[in-house]
Amino acid sequence: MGPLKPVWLVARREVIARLRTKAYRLSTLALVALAVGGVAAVRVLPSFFEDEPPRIGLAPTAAVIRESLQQAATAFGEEIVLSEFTSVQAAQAALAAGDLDAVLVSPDSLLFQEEADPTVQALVGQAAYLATLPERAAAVGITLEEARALIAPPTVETSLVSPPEAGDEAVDDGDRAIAALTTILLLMALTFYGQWVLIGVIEEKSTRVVEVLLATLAPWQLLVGKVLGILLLAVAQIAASVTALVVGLLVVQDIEIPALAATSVAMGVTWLVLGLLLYNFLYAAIGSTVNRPDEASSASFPLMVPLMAGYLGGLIFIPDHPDAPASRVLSLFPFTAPLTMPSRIASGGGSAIEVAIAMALTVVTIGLVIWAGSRIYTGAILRTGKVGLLAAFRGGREVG
Amino acid sequence: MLELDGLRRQFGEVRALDGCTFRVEPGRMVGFLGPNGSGKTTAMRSIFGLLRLDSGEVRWQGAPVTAEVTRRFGYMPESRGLYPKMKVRDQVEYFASLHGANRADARAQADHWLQRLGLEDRVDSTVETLSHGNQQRVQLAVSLAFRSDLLVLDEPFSGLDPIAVATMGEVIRDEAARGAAVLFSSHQLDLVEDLCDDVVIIDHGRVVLAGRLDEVRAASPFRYVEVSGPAALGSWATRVAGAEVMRRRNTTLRVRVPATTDPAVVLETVRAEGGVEGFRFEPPTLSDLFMEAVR
Repeated sequence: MGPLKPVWLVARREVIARLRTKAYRLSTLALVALAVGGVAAVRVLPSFFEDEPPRIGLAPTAAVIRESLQQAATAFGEEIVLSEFTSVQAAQAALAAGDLDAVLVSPDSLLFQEEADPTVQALVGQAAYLATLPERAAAVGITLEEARALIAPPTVETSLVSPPEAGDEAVDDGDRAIAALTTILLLMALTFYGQWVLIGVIEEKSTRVVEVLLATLAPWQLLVGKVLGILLLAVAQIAASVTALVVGLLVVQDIEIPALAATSVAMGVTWLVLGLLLYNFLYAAIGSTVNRPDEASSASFPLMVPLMAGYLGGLIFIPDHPDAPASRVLSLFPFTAPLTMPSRIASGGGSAIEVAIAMALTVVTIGLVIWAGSRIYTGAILRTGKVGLLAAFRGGREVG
Repeated sequence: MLELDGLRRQFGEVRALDGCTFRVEPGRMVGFLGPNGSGKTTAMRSIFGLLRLDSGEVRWQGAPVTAEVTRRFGYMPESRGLYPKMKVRDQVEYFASLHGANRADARAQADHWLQRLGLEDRVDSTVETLSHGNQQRVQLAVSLAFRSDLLVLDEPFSGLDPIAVATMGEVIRDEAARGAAVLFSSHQLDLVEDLCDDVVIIDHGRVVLAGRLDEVRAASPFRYVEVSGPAALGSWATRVAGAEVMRRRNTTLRVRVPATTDPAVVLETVRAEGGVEGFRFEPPTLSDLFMEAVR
């Protein structure tokens, strides 16, 4: 039996044992539901928030300003729906029935049901103004062109006191949302699966099954097997969720996917795997130093510091400043990179070289963490009582 | 053959192992005895490399024990350990496969041992639902499930009822008969005396007595005289050279005498005292040896 066979056996046991638990099934179901629900929400929600364009009925005498009204709406960037009626009565009846929001009785007479819409008022005013311009120009004896020149607003030069610095390019709202969402999901995944590793290691220690295991296995085999098993489970859950998301999007079809989304998902998954490897070995090392499950959260508190720094950076700062110096530092520092680099990429920052450097640094750090984590784990797992990380590290040559 | 050679290990002020040396031969049952805190568990853990030794070496077939070798050892630690939520059969199978059994073999071994230990009805129960005694049987099955060359069992009988003790004792004896070397610790000295071929007694981290049980008994510098009846209560013991009263209970007296003492002379002295209902002159029991060794 080669040294990797036991690693695989440990990982397999971890996978089988957890696949059977209600917690795993429910969390998988929840992730799939979240993906499907997300698609549904994007599809349905906007219609609740977007105002329907105002519907204006034109009585016969008002039809003359139809074109001007359309021009005014275009000029102000407003959308309106116009319909012509053969009589004022017919238009009023449609207003009363709620099929119209306003009736233009004549170019200078506007009718609403209960409440006046200031947008419609302004548009009609502007339209009437435009429609009567030739008439009024003729009255004062100037040409239409002269009248237009007269009323054209002077050009106002606009400048900024503090123009945005390089790296603060405006970020598209869709990309910003993806950046934030990726960061949130990454933090959830890292802490969620980290807890599995933490609790799993503490359980093995507190039930003393670890002594039976270590009589056969080297500590690193047990450690790596456990982390890999949970990584496999995590990837399976994420894959189920992403599949549900893609299928949902294909079914719905008409959702506009931001251009960077595909890259974001690929990057997000890559960084998720790197982040899980990095943090799960740390969680395992910390788990080996405590004895009871209730000590887990206080023992793992130190890990929350880089996690929260990466999370807040990736969620709040980076989407607006993807290439600012602080963003660069956060996305290159191995312990925050998994949470911040995907956010930078989604926000349109981070060159390919920076991504490559961040990945290389993280991979090297994972190697170091496996080494140090194994040593802490080895030094602590068979000791009872609270063991300091440093003492565990020093004692790490005790076993195997 | 397993050899523990000059093992030393200090925990702070405590010398847990202080030159501990003994051997366990294939096909032999070795009873490993010693007072609480004498170093039994530390010695057993050191066989599996579960702690670093300050000095000394554990050897199997003449070569230092490596991870590859311990895979063929079965271990039942003092602090029992099983996955509480894992099913009994899965558990035994898992440990068998960690020790190198392929899937079919692991399954077959698990079924065999669980049946042998009377757990065939509980194979699909999770361990946490089992009684203490049944959990202990599963623990033994785990240590047996891969035809070990060496079995190291730390207090395998503690907390078991007499029937479970008999079953387990029989199973372990069969393993020794198959050729496995068996090292087990216990405080139940009568039980050890019935089961073991060899005995190792350890105190303060060093071996104070080791060898074949019959040989160490014969080699003892003492013999034990047990007398019952009215004569037992007399003062005859004071008239036997080197005699020391060990125990007095009702009308029975147990006296330790030098091994050179002539039993016929002792019997004469006792009979001069009065009526004799029972008279025994014997080498020390394991219990006597233990008391001699660690006092």
